[in-house]
Amino acid sequence: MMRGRSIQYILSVSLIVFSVVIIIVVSTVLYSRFATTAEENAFRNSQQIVDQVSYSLENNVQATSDLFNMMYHTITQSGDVDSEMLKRQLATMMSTRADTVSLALFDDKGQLVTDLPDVAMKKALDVTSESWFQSALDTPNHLSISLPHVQNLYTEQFRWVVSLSKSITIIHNGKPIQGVLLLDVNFNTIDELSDRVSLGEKGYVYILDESAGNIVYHPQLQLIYAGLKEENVELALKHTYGSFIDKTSDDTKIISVQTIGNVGWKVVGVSYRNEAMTSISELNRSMFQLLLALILIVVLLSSIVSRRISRPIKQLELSMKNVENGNFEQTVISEGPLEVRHLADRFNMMITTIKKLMRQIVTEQESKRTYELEALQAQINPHFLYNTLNSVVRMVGMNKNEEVTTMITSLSKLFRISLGKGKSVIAIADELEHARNYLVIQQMRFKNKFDFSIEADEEVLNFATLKLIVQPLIENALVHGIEPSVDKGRITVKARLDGDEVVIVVGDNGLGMSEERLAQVTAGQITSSKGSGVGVMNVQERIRLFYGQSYGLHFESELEEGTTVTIRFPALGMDQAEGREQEA
Amino acid sequence: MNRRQRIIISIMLAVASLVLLISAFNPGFLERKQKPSDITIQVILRSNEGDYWQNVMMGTQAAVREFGITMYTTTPYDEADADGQLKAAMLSLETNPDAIVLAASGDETFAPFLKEAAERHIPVIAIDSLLTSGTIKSYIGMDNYAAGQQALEELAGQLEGKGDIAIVKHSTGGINGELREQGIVDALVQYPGIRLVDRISCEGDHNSCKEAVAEELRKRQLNGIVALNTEASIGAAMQLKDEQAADRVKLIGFDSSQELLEMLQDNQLQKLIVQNPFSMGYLGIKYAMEAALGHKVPARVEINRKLIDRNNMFWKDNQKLLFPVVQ
Repeated sequence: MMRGRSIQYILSVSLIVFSVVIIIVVSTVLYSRFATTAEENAFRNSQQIVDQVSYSLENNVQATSDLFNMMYHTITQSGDVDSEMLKRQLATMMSTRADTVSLALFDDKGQLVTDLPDVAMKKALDVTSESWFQSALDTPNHLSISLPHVQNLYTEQFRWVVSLSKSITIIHNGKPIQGVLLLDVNFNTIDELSDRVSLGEKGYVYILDESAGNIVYHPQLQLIYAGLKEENVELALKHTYGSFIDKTSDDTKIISVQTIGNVGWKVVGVSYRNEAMTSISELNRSMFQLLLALILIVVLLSSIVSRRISRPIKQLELSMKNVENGNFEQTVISEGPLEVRHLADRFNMMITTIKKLMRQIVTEQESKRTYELEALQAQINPHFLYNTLNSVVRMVGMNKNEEVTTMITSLSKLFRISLGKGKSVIAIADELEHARNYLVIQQMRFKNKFDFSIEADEEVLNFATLKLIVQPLIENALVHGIEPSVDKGRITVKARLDGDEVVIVVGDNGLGMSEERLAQVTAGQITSSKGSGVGVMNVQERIRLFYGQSYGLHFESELEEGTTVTIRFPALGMDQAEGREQEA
Repeated sequence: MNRRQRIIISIMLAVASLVLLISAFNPGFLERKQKPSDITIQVILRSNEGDYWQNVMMGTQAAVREFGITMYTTTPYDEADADGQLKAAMLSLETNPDAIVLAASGDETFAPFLKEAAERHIPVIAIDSLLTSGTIKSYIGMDNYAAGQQALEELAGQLEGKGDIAIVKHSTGGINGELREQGIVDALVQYPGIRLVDRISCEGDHNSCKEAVAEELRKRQLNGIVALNTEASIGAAMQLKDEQAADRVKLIGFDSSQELLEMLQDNQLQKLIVQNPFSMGYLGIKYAMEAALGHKVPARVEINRKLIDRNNMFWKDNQKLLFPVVQ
């Protein structure tokens, strides 16, 4: 399918390279664009959710702290903590919030002073070891908020609570003592709030205590304690706010952090980056498939297109080969692009021209041969020989020995030149000599009915000419011009050089021709039945065939004045002319 | 290449490119890959009552949420009803789950089930109780034999190496109970002063165990008791509490419940050996999923046990273990 550098190969390769480059560029741009947007969205989503959770938590903690402070002030401002009035007030306050579990007041030895609601405490209760108790005493006037823990105060109750505690000065049994006020709040609210949050399919939220790095809430806290799962708390501890990429585990995670100021907790959102990037990988895959599909389509298309282009070209090539082998058939190409069809049209036209030219050459060759044959016949015209010999016999009878000698000599010279060496080209000097001999013979035969003169420039004599072109014209002048005339005739033959052309003029003062007849003669419509057999037309055609269409004979004639025939052909040396004869 | 072949190749190219195009515009057109949500895992537990099993359930649910798989759970009405559980398990095979997480009530009973599951090429992950009657992909649970040994060591320590002890076992103890018992018996050799005088059996709720212990205490003087599961531990502790015999008779229990922790705090018993059922449930689902996906899973995963006494029960990392449900 891809041999060499065929059109198909070039087309396919360039199209594939082009489309692959385009798709790669487009997918890269799209990918990076989408990836950035997707990541930004994931970051924003995650941060928003974490912010919302933090906000709710902060509100919740704030409201609880407010309640605690209100109770705290109520207790410090009341006279005696044991009064029924105070207990009722505190009970009302507690009922304003559903998530309060218990309120308890201990003295600094850990002995219970009062509590709400009034249920049985554990017998072996020792609160002094509890962290909320210690931190309240260690940092007076500061509200301590504990981590969620299991409440260890009441019998048969193990509830998850967050403890708010603060040291307090109370009047108990009439004297002021130092104590600790404890408000336990249900952990349910926080637990549910954090548990309901969804960050993608697998993402979650956990809460971190920033002072010690303890996890306050985690949906899989037990797995963390069991060492089955790890949470990268260091990263969350480092930052107070913002979203970050965590690459410490196998799955890249997006960590969003928001700090809750009033408790010192951090809400940390964990979502999985590959969830956000699912669409990206799908896009990637789609792009890849698109690329493959495009390559296939390009291969298919380029094969079809290049076939459509190359098939007519191949067909053309085949026809050319046929022409080479001499089979001049026209090709018919109906398909293919316009250019190829134009090419085929041109080719067809060329073939037509070649065929025409070939036909022309064949005709020319045929006529050339005919004329030359005629000329050859004329060389030994028996009629002319018979007449001349008759004249000789007559002259012998009249004892005109001298004249006989002249005639025979002329005849001999005539034949020598006309037979020549079988060549059709001779020197102008020879041709003129031939003409002179002919004229001498005819002068004798016609008993000096005419005079003649032959003049030739010296320079023209050595140029070449076709054989037997002057004699037929002289014969023509004699037969049609001088013989019918009653006056004494005169024939002039002049040869000269006109530029690079040879001009031979044969003139007579005979009858001449009417314009009508002249036109017919010029057109070659008249063929004489008399004469030596080689007609004027033979001369005309031979000159044209040999030298070209622009050369040949020119007739000028006037009735009673005579006729002048001008022969015009290029001046060629004997070598040149002989070379041309070989070609022909 | 003749014309016919060329046409065929062209058509093939066209079809291929069409498929690719459709796939490019419809994600999932060519996807054969199993999505996590297509994986169904059948969980068969011994019970859904009590802190222990609820904790297991919480672990499985955490895993379901994390991995996005589909889970079905079946539990028998009665924990001791191994045949009933087998029936439910066999029935669940008909739904052709991708993997099964099984906490079996009996070992031999489940031989036909394991055979059937193997024939269907469904991987079985045993949690809580080891199964030896067939092929399982993995066992996730406590080393009960070692736990039994540890229980005896603890009791021996309490008794300072001298005294008569009894084992209280419950009918739902299954293979775990047997392994724990074996561990105790084998550990006895190290303590020549300790004598195993009786093995008390009970069934049903903890009251029957309580009565059994009461009868035993009427029969003979005991210095220590090892109770092999929750019910047995509760029953024994309650009887000791009623008789105010906690000082005289030391008790080592297994597993935890609110009542047990309350009594542990009140010194009615000395130690509890506690597992991490949440992890067990979580890992059960995790490995079942990996087995369903054809990944390699470890043949045995041991869940760490913890020894809980009244001092460490409120430690941070124990709170979540002992009080899994926030209430």
